[in-house]
Amino acid sequence: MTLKKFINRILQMLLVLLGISFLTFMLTYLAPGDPATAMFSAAGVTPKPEQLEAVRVSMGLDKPFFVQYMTWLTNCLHGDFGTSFSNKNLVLNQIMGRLGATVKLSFLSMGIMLIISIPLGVISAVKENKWCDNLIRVLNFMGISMPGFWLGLLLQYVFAINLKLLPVASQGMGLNKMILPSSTLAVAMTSKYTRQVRAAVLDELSMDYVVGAKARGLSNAQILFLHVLPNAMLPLITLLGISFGSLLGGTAVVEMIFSYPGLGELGIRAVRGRDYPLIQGFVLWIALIYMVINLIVDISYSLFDPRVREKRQS
Amino acid sequence: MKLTEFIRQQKKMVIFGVIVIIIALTAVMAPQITHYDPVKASLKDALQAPGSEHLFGTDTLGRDIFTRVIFGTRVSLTSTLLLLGIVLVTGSFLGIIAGFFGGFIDTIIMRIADIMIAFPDMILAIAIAGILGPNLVNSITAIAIVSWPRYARLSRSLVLKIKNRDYIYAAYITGSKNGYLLKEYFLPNILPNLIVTAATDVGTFMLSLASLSFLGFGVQPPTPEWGYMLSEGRQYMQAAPWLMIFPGLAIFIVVSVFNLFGDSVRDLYNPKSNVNKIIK
Repeated sequence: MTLKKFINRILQMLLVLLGISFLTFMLTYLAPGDPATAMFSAAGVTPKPEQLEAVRVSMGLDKPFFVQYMTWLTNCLHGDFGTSFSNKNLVLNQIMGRLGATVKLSFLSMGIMLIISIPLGVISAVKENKWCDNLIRVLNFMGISMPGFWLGLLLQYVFAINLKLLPVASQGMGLNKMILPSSTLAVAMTSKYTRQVRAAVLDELSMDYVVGAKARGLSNAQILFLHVLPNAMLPLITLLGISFGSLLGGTAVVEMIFSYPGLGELGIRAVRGRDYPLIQGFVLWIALIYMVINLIVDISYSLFDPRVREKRQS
Repeated sequence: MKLTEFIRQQKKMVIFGVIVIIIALTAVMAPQITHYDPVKASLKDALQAPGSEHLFGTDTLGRDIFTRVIFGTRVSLTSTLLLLGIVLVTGSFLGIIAGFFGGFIDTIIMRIADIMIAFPDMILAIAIAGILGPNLVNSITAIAIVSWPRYARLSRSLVLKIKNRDYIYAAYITGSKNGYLLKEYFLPNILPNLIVTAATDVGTFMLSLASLSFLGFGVQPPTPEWGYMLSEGRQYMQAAPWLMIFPGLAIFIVVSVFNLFGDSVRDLYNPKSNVNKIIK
């Protein structure tokens, strides 16, 4: 039964992937002018009409739309995402060169987020409406309304320029160069996640089994750590996958501020330079990562949830 | 309910509502609040620190930052409201259609929505805004394109929830046409929920628009806009930190107010989120 579900999920994912690829390919068609013109202007050349025509033919732009899409898709499936307009390097190589940095940054921010938000959320829920709950909620609130790019600039100003504790830009990937970008990314997510932890724990605390456990004489700590927390963690795993999406979106801005050599910085430069193959590769890869993460989250959810697990055995 | 009673019961919402109105008035009355020109350069006044003459200092072109921040309220508010309107109308229209008619239309609309949701929002918005060409309209379009699916999903689920209620069947049997059903039964039922969701989203939309401008894919100079002002100020961070402090503070405060206001609207509509407080 679950295997069938799993296969279904994969099939669904492939369908969405097809849609993603189509949308990514369509991006090029949003632009004023065609890719051939864009290629010349990205390289800083004003082409003669016959040059333009020759490039159009060599790029296959004279073929029908659907044929172009199929050619592009087949190439992508073979790992050929084209060559960058601006520097003639293979798109795949450029993306692979940056992928590790972004993944590292994302996981570091995620780690910071979990370490801070789970204890805060639990404290906030257990001490509901006490002063520390109120304080945590005010801080959360500020974190959510704080523009990531402004926070990044402020941190850069205070810690790198004024106090000179940390490097301004992050050329390279040493830990000290990742502290500022990852903290910037972590703040907004931590605030959102703390709220969700609080809500999940509060939900569990209002369940009948908590009253039952109390009646049987279990201590508050036992109830909290042995019963409430394991149950509350389940919905939080799903939310983790969703937060990862906003995290990936945030990396673009933060990487740019700190000149961190990741995918986001590459992507923004590609968009600015109208480097279409690179933009397509960037969008496609980010969507892929996001999708895989969500798939992993889904699978782990069914592994952790006894209700789903039992269904598989029966 | 008498007005005074309402104010007493909904203190939070009234307070934030008043602040929202003050922000809106700031946008409308911008030329009355400050006598400087937000756009005209005056190079001899360049990069002055905050003082009595220029409350927030001046930028590289000698323009008064306070003036530009005040005028920035206009751009930010109008573009956010425009965006919100577009997303609310198109998203809920598509969602209602999908939920109401079901079948093929439903499949098409919701699969497209699934695909859009498979992208991290900001990434797709950056790509679309950048490719369409950097200006305000395109950045609004880009965020609208990535945001409608959430509203479509919500309104579809709301339609499906009431679709099989007896009063809908009764209306159907007594000969109500589809258009009439949608207008008289479905819309009034789901609209409050959609509006509340929209109210809680104002801050988020404002932040997204500001991030696009910050990256240079939104409002273009010389229009005063907070996100763009920040990216201009970034280069002079060391010599003139006021360039990046005040526009950021403006975004932070206005977004906070709208978030608080949205939350209080939600609490008013959905007292469930207060249930815990009442019980304990």
